[in-house]
Amino acid sequence: MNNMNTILEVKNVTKAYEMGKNNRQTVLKDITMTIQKGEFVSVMGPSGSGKSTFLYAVSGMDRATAGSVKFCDMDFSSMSEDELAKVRLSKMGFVFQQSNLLKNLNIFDNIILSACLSKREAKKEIKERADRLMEVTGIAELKEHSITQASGGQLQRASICRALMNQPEILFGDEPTGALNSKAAGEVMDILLKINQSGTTILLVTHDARVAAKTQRVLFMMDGVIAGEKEMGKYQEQKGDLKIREQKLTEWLTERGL
Amino acid sequence: MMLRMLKNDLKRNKIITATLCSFMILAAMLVSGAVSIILTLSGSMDTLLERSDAAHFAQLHAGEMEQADVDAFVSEHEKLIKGQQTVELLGISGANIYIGGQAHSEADSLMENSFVRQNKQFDYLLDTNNEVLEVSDGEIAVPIYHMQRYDLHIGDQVRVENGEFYKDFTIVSFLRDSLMNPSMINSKRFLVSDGDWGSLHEQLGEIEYMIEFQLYDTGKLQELETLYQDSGLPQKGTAMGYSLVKVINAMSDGIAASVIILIALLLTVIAALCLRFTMLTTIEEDYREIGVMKAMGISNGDIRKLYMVKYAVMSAAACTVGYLISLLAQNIFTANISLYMGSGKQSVWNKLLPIIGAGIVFAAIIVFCMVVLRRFRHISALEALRFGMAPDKRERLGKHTLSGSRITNVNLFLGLKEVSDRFRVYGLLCFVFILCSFLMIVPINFLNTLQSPNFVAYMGAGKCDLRLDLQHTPDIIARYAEAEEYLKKDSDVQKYAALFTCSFKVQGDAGEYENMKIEIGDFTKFPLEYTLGSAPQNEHEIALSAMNAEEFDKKPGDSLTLLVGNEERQMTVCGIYQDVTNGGKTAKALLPFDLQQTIWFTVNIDLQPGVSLEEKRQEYSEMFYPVKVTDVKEYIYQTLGGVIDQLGLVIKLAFLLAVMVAALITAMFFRMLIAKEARQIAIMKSMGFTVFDIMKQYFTRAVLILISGTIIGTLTANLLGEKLAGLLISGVSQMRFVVNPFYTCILCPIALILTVTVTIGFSRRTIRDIDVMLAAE
Repeated sequence: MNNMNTILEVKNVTKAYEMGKNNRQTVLKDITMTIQKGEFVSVMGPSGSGKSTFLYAVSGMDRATAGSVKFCDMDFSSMSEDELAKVRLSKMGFVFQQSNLLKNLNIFDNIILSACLSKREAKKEIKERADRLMEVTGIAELKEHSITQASGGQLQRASICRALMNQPEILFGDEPTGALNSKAAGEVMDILLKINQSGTTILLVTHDARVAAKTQRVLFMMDGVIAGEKEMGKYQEQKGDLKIREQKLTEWLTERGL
Repeated sequence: MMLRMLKNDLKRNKIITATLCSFMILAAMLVSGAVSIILTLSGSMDTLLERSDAAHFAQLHAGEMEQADVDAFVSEHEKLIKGQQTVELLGISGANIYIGGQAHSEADSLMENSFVRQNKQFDYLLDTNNEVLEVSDGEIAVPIYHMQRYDLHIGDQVRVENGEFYKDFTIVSFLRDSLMNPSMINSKRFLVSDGDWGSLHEQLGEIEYMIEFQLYDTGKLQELETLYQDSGLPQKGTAMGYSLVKVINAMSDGIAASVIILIALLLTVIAALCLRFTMLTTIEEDYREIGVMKAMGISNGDIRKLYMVKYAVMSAAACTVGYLISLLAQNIFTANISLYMGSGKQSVWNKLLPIIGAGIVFAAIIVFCMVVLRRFRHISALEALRFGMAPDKRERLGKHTLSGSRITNVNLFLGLKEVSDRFRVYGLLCFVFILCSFLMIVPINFLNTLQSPNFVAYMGAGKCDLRLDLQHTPDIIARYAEAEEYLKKDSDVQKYAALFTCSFKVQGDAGEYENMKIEIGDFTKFPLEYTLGSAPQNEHEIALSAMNAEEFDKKPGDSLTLLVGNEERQMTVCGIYQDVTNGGKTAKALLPFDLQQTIWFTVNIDLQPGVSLEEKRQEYSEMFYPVKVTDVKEYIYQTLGGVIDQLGLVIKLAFLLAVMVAALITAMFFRMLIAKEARQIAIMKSMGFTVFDIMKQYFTRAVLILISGTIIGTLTANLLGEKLAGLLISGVSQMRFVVNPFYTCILCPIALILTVTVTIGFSRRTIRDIDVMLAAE
């Protein structure tokens, strides 16, 4: 890796699906990019542009057809499924559009599950950290609730807590606010910003310019390639420049036909 | 389209479909086979009894007799009796007979072999074509039992020798005997020419008479039996009625047919369970497609038809194949019947009923399919389209939480929690494990009990090392005195007790008198285990065998009237014990008796520690000849040898079947569960759970269910199994299993755990193939 600060290095990644005989659909085409430690990067683009496929290919959830993905100097292409699972457990966090919590566990158990599995700490410490995260994300009162007793926004916060329990190097989000109303989406974004400010790298896919406006860098995808990249700078809430950032981003996206 | 769906489904589930079809084929085959056995048995037996012109009542008698008395009895009851003949059975000790060129004699065999001439009026001995046998000098016809036991062929030799004398016979045929055919009857008749019979009689053997009757109306058999018993005619020996002969002839093959039907039922249940799992998994996998069909407006009935046709075609094909195989295998199913009884008349029912049998299996499967497919009604098109899987109706979480649990292993916790929260879901699997444990353990416990030295308790005798048996002979008193004298002086003998069996008349409910064989002697030296009450203490107490107690409807404390000498004596029933010997109908009392009237006597012997049983047995055999000397363990084996051998086979088959069923049902159950929980598995994978982690959870669930099932199964096997085993052996009312903990508590559970572990191991691929990307959908 060239830069000591690079956490994710993507080189000539291609992802194609075989759709039967003589029918190959290439969703990602020769993508190359890097993400630095502590960055907050968002990926935008029209439906079918390959945003989610890109996210899962670079996070090791899905395997690239060609090219290489290096995360913390580990090459995903040479790793087994179990090795990838261990990386996901110890160094990555995922937040999906749906909260994806396990149905037979209450919210608190869902949050501490991955930490208990990794066995890096005693259960007491795990529980204390889960309490703090629930406090920070504003769902402390839901501790004993089942997942059917919470709203979509609350569940999404719970899944953020779960993703952060093992103090990951990077957090991947696939439309984490996609299923939420604007108020809940705003609250979830604020939490993600706080997490990023505390040093966690974030890469998220979104179709919402208001969400992307809060990120540091925006990648624009079109037809399986990164068609543009906009450096937005760090968002600082106290400056009150969100509207300006949103406006600039919208103009930039409009220029690219979105 | 149906054909394409069927083809695709078969391709998708190759192994499961093949196994499912095998079970259906086996079930249909066994039902058809069992029906064939029953039909053949009934037809063959009727033909055998008809061709042999079987006797309706036969009384064996050891000792002198006057034919004139019998003739007078016949004349007196000429309206009842159609025919009478007295057969002379020349009983020759096994030690004098060598069959099929074997180096050792028949001395160790429990079979009592007698040589006879062909009967003149009825009760003919038949050849293997059911033709009346005729043999010339130097020729012999040997019972089918011996043919099967020694694998004899026409032309083999039978030698009878006694000191200097010997006579060789050439086997010219194998004989069917309507009275003594079954292996369960321990008397067998060999047919020789009149001339040979005479020369044998001059040299060795003792004559026993079989006084046979034929009736105009077999319904009046009981009347004849009572008249005969009351007449004072010769009756030192066993009596056999026509109905008893029929029952004994039908018993071994009838039991085989019942066992086959039971296995077929079990296989049908297993096939139904497999089918249920396959269908539920398919529905789970096709959930979204079903939703689409519903959204398109296709009715529940039409969707059900799509699935129904698939399984109907499959089960129809399987049942047809099963029936066809049963036709091919018919000879195997009925080989034993054909061998012992020949072929009966064939009617249209012989062809039609086995088809109906296979049809019943088919109908049962179809009805079951219809019941399972009723759940289409509950599938909501909207939910199916939105979620692609059945909504989980669980609202309430179990009380166990990961945060509060002391279990630190997450996978173990998740496995345990799943089972404790949703035990009902696993009920079916638990039932299968109960069944498998039961299947494995009952035959093992049963065999262990039969082989245990304590089993003698079920044979109406106390536990002892050796026993001497002597049937009535004119010199019985001298022989007994000789034996007793010897035993008294023998320092190797720790203790002995002689028991004499005599016939007494006992009053039945209707006031009529029936004969009962009562054992008399000292019952304290070799105490017997009584299921109720205790041994007789005085001359007015009597202990009854379980079968006699049932027949006379007596329990301890009840009274029974006995004719002792010529006086009526009120006896009190003091105890009830189990006895599988002598047809299970025996009794014990302390009554005065005439040694000359003894039907047989038995001496139980315990040897001093360290004395060789085998050497002692041989010594006594030579010393007390012709008294039969038996090592009790050997006695149990010889009496129940057939059952023990068959049980050995049953154990192996049951073990194999249980392991197969456990593996199959576990595989299907978990396949269904994994299909249902695919998204949850993907979520766990996305969080960093490895395939091995997830397998541990499924393994925990399976083992937990297995442990519950095995515990319940083992308990059921002991409680219910004892009753079941008691039913199989007549004369045993209350069997208590002798349990070998190594087999029941270690070997069987370990075999099941290994099976389940390996099976769960196979689901690794299914779990691995679940795409983690499913979590992102």
